[in-house]
Amino acid sequence: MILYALRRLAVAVVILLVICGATFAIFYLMPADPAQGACGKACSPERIAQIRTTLGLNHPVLIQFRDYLAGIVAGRSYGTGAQAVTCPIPCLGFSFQTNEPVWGLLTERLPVSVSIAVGAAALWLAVGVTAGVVSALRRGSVWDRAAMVAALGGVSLPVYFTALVLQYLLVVKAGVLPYPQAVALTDDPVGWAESMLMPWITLAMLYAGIYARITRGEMLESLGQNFVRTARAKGLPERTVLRRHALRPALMPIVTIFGMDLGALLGGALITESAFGLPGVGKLAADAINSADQPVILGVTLFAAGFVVLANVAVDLVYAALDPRVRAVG
Amino acid sequence: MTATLPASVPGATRRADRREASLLRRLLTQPSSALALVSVCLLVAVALGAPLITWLTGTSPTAFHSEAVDPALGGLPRGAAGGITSAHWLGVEPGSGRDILARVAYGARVSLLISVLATAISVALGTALGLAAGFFGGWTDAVIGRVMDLLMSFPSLIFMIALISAAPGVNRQLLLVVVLGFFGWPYVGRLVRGQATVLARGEFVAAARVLGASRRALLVREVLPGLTGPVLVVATMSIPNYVATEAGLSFLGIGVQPPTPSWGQMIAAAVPWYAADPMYFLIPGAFLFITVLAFNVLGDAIRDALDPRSRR
Repeated sequence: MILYALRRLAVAVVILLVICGATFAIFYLMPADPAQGACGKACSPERIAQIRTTLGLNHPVLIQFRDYLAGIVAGRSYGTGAQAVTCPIPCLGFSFQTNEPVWGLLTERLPVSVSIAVGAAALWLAVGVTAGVVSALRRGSVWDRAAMVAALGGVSLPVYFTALVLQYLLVVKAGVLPYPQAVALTDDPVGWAESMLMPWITLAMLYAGIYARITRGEMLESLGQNFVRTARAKGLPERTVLRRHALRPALMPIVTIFGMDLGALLGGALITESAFGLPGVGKLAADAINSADQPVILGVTLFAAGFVVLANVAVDLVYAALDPRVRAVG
Repeated sequence: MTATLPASVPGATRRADRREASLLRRLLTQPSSALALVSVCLLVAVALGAPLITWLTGTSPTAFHSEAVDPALGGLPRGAAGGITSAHWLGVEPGSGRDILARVAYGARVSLLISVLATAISVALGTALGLAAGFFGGWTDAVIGRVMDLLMSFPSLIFMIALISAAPGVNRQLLLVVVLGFFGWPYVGRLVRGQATVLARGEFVAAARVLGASRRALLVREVLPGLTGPVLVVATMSIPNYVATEAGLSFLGIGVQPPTPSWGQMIAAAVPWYAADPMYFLIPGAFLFITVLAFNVLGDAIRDALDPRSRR
């Protein structure tokens, strides 16, 4: 098991390195000049040359990439002598716009993204799995048909459209919720929940549909299996049969998808955050893109990829713990 | 783009034709899939007939109609429901007064064109590489499998954005097609690989091999035809995905660039007006929703029709 975990982690590190390399290549081989970006529009050639030296842009690309990676694990400093700026571990550079360290920006924005992701995940998991199970148990009923139509509708709803409809209905027309804004959970729990409710519903509508469809399919699959028939034949109460024998195997694929979805959202729900104007990691990315703030875009990409890759590892480890066959194959 | 048999095999072509005819009949007998099919056809008609629509209504997607908006109200459309009049059937944009129907129709063109082409790329790449991985196994499989895993663990939305924003001078619609197709192929590839692995072990493949069929013939004549169904399903399912992603990217301002209209861009432009003129975001949003939903329903129906096991 430990060997499997180590091997899985090694693969994850390689994937992160490749992602890092690919992102780095995009930015540093493309026509846009980072020094120009760092300096702004009205900028003298001398100043640009100076920035090129400070950022190390005069070095070959591979050296720059090495320095970037070294900065992440060991920190680095830009420039020399009295003007040197140190960038502590993990160094992802400084924003061209605000001159703040990128890592600081990311960690500052993370609580908002986590609030959105975790709340939405709890909501869609509860609604989606319940709806899927009930649909499977009452296959072909009015409820089943209605739930599956709703699920397909939810899957097809674009997040930014749902966001606008909800804001129009709940904030403008009904006036029951305030405009979404970043409220820290520790400052004002009620205000936090109120401002997060619409993003949660928006994301949950999308994901609950997907989860309901998968749960229903898996549940029907496992209800048809021999072990369920055996459990019933043993005379176990129907509740136990459903919960212990039918639902459990049906939930295995859900665990996989849930891990990946949550991982992807923790690294920033880009469109949702932009649509509600909430200052999470995703909004940071969107803003950085609009202002061509390359170090921030690079940082967010890596940060988000880190969550996705870690979630993958976590899912694999959970799977290996539950099912020894995976360890042998992987 | 779906893999059909080579035309040089007359018997097989006729068989495929028959199967397509029965698939169509099945789709039309169920109300939900029939409705979805009709919606898709209507959307394609709107997209193709966009110039006809603007000719009929005497507008264009880029013409400003200052008479249709009221400067005293900050540029809100004159008249009810976002300025719906006999001249502007779906109203006008607040501020500029551009005709929404014309923009939605031309937006449909962009949206469908990009997603169909991206689907073509991802299906072609995914089928070719998935087939190679599943059929040859061994090293080929290991390398292609790893690349697919890698691409699927990319935070693709952010990565697409990074890629697009780093390439300023390039034709945006072409870039969208390439980027969407490139990040989409592993999903096709994974499915094709699984299917091809099973098919390659089939007795009919072994029989053909014994009869002296070349590798090429085995791949093209024996394995590839068995992939038609799953590939058709995954292609139908990827179109709504690309429609939604393209609209999402355009919403964020890095998709289709003005003056070319696109649904996502229209919704983004409607954000500052959503409280005063909800029709402005509701109309492109409804088109987007119906398009994605129709293709999703259709994909489900095709899967059920081709694979009776999944119909429960």
